[in-house]
Amino acid sequence: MSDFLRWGRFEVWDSRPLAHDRFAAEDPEAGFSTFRSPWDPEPSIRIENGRVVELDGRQEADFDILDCFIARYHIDVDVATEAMAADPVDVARMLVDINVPKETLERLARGMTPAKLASVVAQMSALELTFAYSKMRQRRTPGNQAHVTNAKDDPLQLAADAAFAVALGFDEVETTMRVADNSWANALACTVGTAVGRAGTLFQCSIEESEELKIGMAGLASYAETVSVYGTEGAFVDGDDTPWSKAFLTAAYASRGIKARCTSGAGAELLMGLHERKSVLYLEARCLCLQRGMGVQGTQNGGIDGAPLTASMAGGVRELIAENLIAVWLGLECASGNDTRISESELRVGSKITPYMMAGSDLLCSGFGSICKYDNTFNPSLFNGEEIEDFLAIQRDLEVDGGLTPVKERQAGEIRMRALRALQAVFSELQLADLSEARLRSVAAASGSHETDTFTPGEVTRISRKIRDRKLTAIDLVRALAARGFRQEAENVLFMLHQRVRGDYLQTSSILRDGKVVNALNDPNDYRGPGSGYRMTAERWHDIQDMRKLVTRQSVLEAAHRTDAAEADWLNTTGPAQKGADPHEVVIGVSPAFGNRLQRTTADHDLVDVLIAIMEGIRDRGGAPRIVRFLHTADTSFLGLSAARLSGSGYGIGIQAKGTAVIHKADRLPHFNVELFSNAPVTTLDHYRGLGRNAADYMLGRVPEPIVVPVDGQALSARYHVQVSLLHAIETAMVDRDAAPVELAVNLGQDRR
Amino acid sequence: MSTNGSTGEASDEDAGATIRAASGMPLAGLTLEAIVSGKVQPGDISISADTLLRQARIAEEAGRVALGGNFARASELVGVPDDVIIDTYELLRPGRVSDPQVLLERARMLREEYGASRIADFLVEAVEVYRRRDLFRKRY
Repeated sequence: MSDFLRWGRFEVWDSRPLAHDRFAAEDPEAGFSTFRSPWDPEPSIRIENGRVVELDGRQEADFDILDCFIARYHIDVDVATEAMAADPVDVARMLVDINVPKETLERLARGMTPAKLASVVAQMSALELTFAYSKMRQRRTPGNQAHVTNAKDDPLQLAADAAFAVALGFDEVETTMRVADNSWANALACTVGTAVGRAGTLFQCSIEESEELKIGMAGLASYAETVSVYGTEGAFVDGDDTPWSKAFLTAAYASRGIKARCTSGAGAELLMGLHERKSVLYLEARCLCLQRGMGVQGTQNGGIDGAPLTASMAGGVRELIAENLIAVWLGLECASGNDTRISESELRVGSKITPYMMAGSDLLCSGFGSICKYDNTFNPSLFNGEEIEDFLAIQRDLEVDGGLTPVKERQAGEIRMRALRALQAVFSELQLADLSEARLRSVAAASGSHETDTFTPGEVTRISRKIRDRKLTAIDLVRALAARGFRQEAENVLFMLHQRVRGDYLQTSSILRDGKVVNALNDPNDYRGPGSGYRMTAERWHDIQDMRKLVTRQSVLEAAHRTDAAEADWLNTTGPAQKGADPHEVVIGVSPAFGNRLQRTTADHDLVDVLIAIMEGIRDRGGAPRIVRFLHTADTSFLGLSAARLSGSGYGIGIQAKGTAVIHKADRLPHFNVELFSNAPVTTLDHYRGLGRNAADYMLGRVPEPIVVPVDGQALSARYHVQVSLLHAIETAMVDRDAAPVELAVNLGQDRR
Repeated sequence: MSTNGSTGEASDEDAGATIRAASGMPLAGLTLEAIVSGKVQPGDISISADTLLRQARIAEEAGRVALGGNFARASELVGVPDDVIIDTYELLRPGRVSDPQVLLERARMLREEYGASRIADFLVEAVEVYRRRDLFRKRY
């Protein structure tokens, strides 16, 4: 069996981005299991005198810190007996049944243990999980979150990028930093940036828990997400917390009017080496029950930092959807992961996001890297600055609202500059730093920090320490903005301070849109099948459609007609076309718009040059070209066949204005041609010359090598079919079925013929 | 984009006029002019215990009892200074104290000095669990 050669295709595969990905073997003992490990407990509960005394096979005396907390704060003992008795398949069916209200299912979830919740979602296919997610998610209007960071912790770039994220429509902006001491500068800069353009974008500064709380207390963050919880006691303690410390922290955030959500996700315990041989789904179900019990309004889950590890497992991406479903089923806001990039393969990235695009989510990504990959201090996201327009295109393709809106070049430039000027003013007013115009302009134009001439790392740290040590707060920031004439931005920061005092945005799934809190209470997801749930307004759909560089009839016509008016009429009608008698004749049959309304091929060749090339080719081989315009058809095959039938030799060429051409013979069926040149966008003038030569060779009875127009796998249809169909419509509109063919003469003056 | 503070209602449309900050200042007083003239203090941009209890009620009425419980605990922390909150959080982290009495003493202090009885009960409960799970063990 050793008679084989290594097939070259494997080398092709080895060189693709996917080859960097790793696929892990199922190995529950080592923690590599998605939905079910032999060490997962069977769902169980026992209640005595209103007290949970057994949870998923464990007796109260053996409860670990998670069991204790879940038993006391998550399990609703009034529902538990009924919920635990329900058949998992029946409950799974209820989850996808549009006739079973969300509330009925949320009530049951409050009585379910982690193992029970996991056993239900384990019944569901990826499609069913996605559908159930669309039904169970909490807020009707979908939203999205951005990461705004950079490799230099440069506050200037943070402000400009935060403002751009706001313009794109992100509801939340999250930053973190390379150097922990830079957190205060990061927070101040992003607070300024998110105040540009509109009010209401929530902002968080992700850093060690205590420091994050301090920044929030100073009013320089409006939400917190780094309230991490873990699915085993060991991982929790290594994470330097307990359910009680995290629940206290959650209350502390609320006490300062700061929105908070927890973070958890499959694979975290595995990465920390403390997985207890349990499946990642079961561990995540524990995390989520804990979070509901803590009374936090929402979660960031769906793998998060562990997503790439989970995605390495078979069914791992399905598991990530399943854990998101448990989150929303428990009534939690869900910032549904799609953050850490799970793959080097763009195809896997697109596949990963699609279910969420279709189902919608409180925050589709948590977050989306609005900056370049290398500037993401968290790690590259599933989508990054480079890929923003890809995401916009997917929204447009599926007619879904992923929370983002296209931003035009000028708008982006203006908004970035405004943010930079605002930060410059704040730094000056608060005597934190003086900024040169050169630095400001460098950052304004830069796509990422590799291109910026800005603060040194030491300067940033000194600014950050000044903010912290002088105990500057959002009040100082508002005053500084107002003092320097940035009144609107001052008002926008103040608007967020009002939200802290009102506290409405502490309720589940809150974002701010058009100056209003929108959340699960005043905008509940009411999906009950077609005609219900979130539907885009006509205005919103229009905005999503309006990508850069839209192709329109006018833009296509202008490009195809680009010619000097003085040079018009180079192709003149001389009279009705007759059947020729010359046996060396090759008739070139041109389409109705050829050389009049349309002057250029899709490869951007001038039709004068194309026609000359074909005629030269015919003459090279001793043929006699004759040009005829057909008006009864614009189809290449019929043009070619009609030309062949008028030709004295019986051979003819058909060509459309967009450049598609064919060699035809008088005795053939219309679509059974001699040679077809269908890829006009890559057809060169040499190819057209070869086309003329071959036509003449056939006429002489020779068998020439067919002309090969090489293609290297470009998606020519994606690149050209918009222009092609608009151009062709111009031709077909000129067709007159009764019109007779006319003889043409090329009139270029002097000797261009 | 409206930046008018009175348009942000999500759940209680009439509350805008009566909301006060933790300091007791009416929300209507939190204006740009007040900030520019140096009249606004940190307590004026903080949520009040009453508002949190109202949010707790709204959450519970919406069937979100656990969320309401969190807001109720939060309401007790409004009057607790920032440094005490941060310090209490630190004490609750695993292995920060080896003597459970330190945490129990903090519970007593929060209950007696700040009337934070829910939070105090919560700390006492943590002590019981930490003891059983051997978490009063120094980690660094």
